[in-house]
Amino acid sequence: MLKGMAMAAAAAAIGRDASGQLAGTPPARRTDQTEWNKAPCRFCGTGCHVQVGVERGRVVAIQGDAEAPVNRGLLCVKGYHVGLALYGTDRLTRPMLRRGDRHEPISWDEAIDIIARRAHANPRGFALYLSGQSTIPEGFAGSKLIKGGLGHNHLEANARLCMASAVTGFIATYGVDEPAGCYDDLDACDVLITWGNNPAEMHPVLFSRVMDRRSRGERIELIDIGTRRTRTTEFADRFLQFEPQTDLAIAMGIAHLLLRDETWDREFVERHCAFRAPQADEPTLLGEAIDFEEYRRRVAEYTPERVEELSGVPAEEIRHLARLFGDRDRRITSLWCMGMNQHTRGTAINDLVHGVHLLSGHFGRPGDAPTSLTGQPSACGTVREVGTLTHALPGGRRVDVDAHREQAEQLWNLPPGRIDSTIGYHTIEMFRRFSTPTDAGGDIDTVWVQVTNPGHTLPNVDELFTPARELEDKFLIVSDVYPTETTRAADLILPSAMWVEKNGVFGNSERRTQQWFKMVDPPGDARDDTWQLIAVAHRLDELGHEGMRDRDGRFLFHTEDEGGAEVPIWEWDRYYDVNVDRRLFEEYRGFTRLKHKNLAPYEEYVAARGLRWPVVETDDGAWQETRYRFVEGEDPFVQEGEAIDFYHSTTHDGRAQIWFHPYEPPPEVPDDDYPFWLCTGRVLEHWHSGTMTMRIPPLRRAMPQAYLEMSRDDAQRLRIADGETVVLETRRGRLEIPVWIDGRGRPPAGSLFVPFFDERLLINRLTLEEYDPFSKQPDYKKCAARVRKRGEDG
Amino acid sequence: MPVTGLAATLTEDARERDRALDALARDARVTVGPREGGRVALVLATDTADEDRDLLQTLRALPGVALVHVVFHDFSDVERFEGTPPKRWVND
Repeated sequence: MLKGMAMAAAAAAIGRDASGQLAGTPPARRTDQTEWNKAPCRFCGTGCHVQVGVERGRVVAIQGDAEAPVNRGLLCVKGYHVGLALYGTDRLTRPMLRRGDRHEPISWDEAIDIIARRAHANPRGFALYLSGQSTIPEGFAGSKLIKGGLGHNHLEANARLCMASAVTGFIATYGVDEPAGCYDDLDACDVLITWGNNPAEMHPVLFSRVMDRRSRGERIELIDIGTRRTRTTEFADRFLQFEPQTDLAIAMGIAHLLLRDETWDREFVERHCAFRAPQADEPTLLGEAIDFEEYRRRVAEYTPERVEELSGVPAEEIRHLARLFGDRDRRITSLWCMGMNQHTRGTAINDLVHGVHLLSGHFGRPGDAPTSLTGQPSACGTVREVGTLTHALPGGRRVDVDAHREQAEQLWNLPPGRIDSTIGYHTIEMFRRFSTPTDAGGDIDTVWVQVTNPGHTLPNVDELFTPARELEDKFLIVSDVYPTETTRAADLILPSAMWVEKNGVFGNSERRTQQWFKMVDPPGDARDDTWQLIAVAHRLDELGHEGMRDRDGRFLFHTEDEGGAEVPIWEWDRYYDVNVDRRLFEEYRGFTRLKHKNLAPYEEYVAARGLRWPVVETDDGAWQETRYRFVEGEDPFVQEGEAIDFYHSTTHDGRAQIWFHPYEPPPEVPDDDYPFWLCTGRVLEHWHSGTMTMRIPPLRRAMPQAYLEMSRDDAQRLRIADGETVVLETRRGRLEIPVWIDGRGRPPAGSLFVPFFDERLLINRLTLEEYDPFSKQPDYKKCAARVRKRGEDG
Repeated sequence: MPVTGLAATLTEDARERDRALDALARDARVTVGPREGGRVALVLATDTADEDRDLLQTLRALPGVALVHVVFHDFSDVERFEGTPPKRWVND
C-alpha cells in the first residue's frame, strides 16, 4: 500500500496519475487514521508546500503538495525529511536557568518573571533578536513589545546577516523593498544568469523548473557567474569565474557595452529611469542625481579588457553578456542570494544588477526580471515586511520618519510619542555592545534570542558573542527547540514549539504569504514563541511598566472572544482558546497598505497555498494576488496607460534609479601571510547552522561533518592528502578541519570553501565582521586565510 | 521498509534517457511509473534507510538523469533510523 501511495504522489508530481492519466489526484491516504493538512516547508525561502500526514498526534509522512504553485508536488532532500526535524532525541522541553556552570529546570512562571524584571529594570538595555524563521505573528508581536511597549528600537533579526543588502538594493533602486518579479519568470526566461548563486543545491525545486523546460527540449541559456564551481555550474552553458568582489566590474562592463554599442533600451530608460551615484562625502541610499552623459562617462572606464584585468573573466564573455542584454527578443532572469548579499559592497552590486536590467529594458515582462532569493522561510514576510529590524516599523515604515511613527501609534492605539525616533543598534553593533563591559560603553545588558543561533552564525564569533559570557551583568535568554551553541552559552533557556506544533504564517521570496495550522502538540513543556512574548508583556504590565498599555488603558495584546469577553492569552492553558495568529495577522494587515503590500484577510490564506502581495479585493468580492509589480495590467496600483510605474520612486516621479558604483577592492585580500581566499556557505543536505538537519539521521549520514574544500594543485603543493586534518587560520582564529580535495565545488587554486553547518567545526570563529556601509550586512564570502599541516609551525 | 516516491527529470539526450530507463527497470528495488515529457515517476523500496539514501545518490549520478526530487517519504519507522551519530573523518 505504501508503494502505491508513493507512486501516486510521484505521478501527481509529474502531472499524471499512477495509471498514467493526467493527474488531478488528492493526497494519498496512508491509512484511514492519517490526517493530512498543508504547511509551507520549515526550511528555505522557496516556500514549497508540503502535505503533512499525522497519526495519533505524531507526524508520520510528508508529501509534496501537488496543488502548490511554488513546487507543484516536488520537494528537495531537506523538504521530504522536514517531519523528522520535530523528532530529534534531545528536544528542549523545560525552561532552564544557569546556576553556576549548570542549567537547572525552573517553572515557566519563574522564567517569564526573570525576563520581565530584566526588561523592567533597564528597558533600553534589553534587546530582542529574532529571525527570518520567526512567523509573521511572532515578528509582529516582538515589534509591538519592543517598539510599541518598551519604547525603544533594539530589535533585530538574523536576516541582517543574509539579505539586508538585497533590501537596500531594492530601496535604492525602486524606493521600496522586494522583487517585482516572481517564480513564474523561471517558466518564461530564455536566459538564466546566476550571480554568485547556486540554486541547484540551495533552491533545487526552483532550479528544476528551468531544468524541466530543458528536458522538454526548450532552449534556456544558463550562465553561472561565481568564484567557485557548484552543482549549478554543471548545468551551465558558460561559467564565468571571477576574482572575489569584482562582480561590480562585470556589471559595469555590461553597462558600458550597452551604451557603447547603442543597444540599451532608450525608450524604457527615458520614460522610466533616472541615474544616480553615491555622494562623495557621507554617501546615503538616496545618492545624488547624475545625468545620462555623466553616467556614460563614468562607466566608460569599464571596457571588456579592463574588466578582464580586474575580474579574470575573459573580455569575450563580457561582450557575450552585453549582447544578450542588448537583445530585447530574449527574456533574461537574474537570480542571486548570499553571494551578492554577504558582501562588503552588497548594496552596490545589488544596485548594479538591477541597473543592467533597467538599462537594457529587461524588466516587467514574464521572464525578464532581476530577482533575489532568500535563505529563510520568512525573511521576507517577517523581517522585511513586518520590519523586525532596528530602523523599521511594520509595513515598510521607519522609526526616524515622524509620519510613520504617528501612523504606527495610531494603528497600535498608543499614546503619541511612545515610539522612539532613534534607530537602535544593528546586529553587529548590538552584539558588540553586549560583549563590551557596561562601564566601557556596553549598554546592552540583556539579549533575548528567538528562533536563531547567533553563537554559531555571527561572524568573528569569538569577538562578538563569546566575551559577553564572561561579563557577570550580561544576561542571555534563548528560545529554541534544540541545544545549540547559543543555548549552551545562555543564562536562561526557553523550550519552544516549532513548525506544525503551532499556528503560523510565513512570507517567501516571491511575496507569497502562506498560512498553516497547528497539527501536533510540542514535546514536554515547550510553548509557542508568540505566547512567550505576550506572557512577558503581561508580566511587565503586572510589574507596572506603563508601556504595556495602549492609550485607552488596555493591555497591548488585549484579545477578545467572539462574544467580546477578554481572553487571558498570557495564560498558556487559555492561549489556544482563540486563534492568536489570526488576531495578530488582522492587526498587522492594517499596516500593509502604505507601501502597497496589501494582504487579504487571514481566512483567504487558510484556503490558499499562499497569495502574492499586493492582494486586493476585486469588484466581485474575490481577492486577487499580483504576479508582477509596477506593471500595467498586473499590478493593481499602476494606472492605465502608464505601462510601468515605479510608484515608490525615491525621486517621487515614478522612475527607478540606475546607479553607478565604482569597483573597490575588499577590506581583506590574500597576502604573503594569508595567501588563500576563504569562502563559507551551505551544502545541499544541511540548512544553516544544522540545528534541525543534523538531527535528521539520513541527512546527517549523507553529510556528517564540515570540511575544507581545496584544489588538487594547492593540496599537492602543500603535501596535503585527501581527508587529512589541517590547520586553517585567519587573522581572527584557527580551526583544525579535514580537507576534501576538490570537494563538490572544485575550487580554483588559491581558494578555499568551508560549509558553516557544523557546530563542532565552527568556521565563524574565523570569518570577517566587516560589513556593507548601507545594509550593515557582513561578508562571509571572502577573507584571507592560510592552511598548514598539523604539527608544522604557525 | 523505507518507501520513497520520486519525480526524476531526464536529460535531453534520447539515447541516454533510454539507457537510464533500462537500467532503472532492471533494478528490483525500483518501480518505474508513468512518464510525462522528460519526467518519470519512480518508487524505491529498500530494506534500510541507508540503502534508500545510497540508491538515491546512485540515481542522481546516473547518466540520463538530470535531477531527482523526492515527493513522498514515509518515516513512521523513524526510530529505526536513530543510531550512533557518524564519526568524524580520519584523524579524529
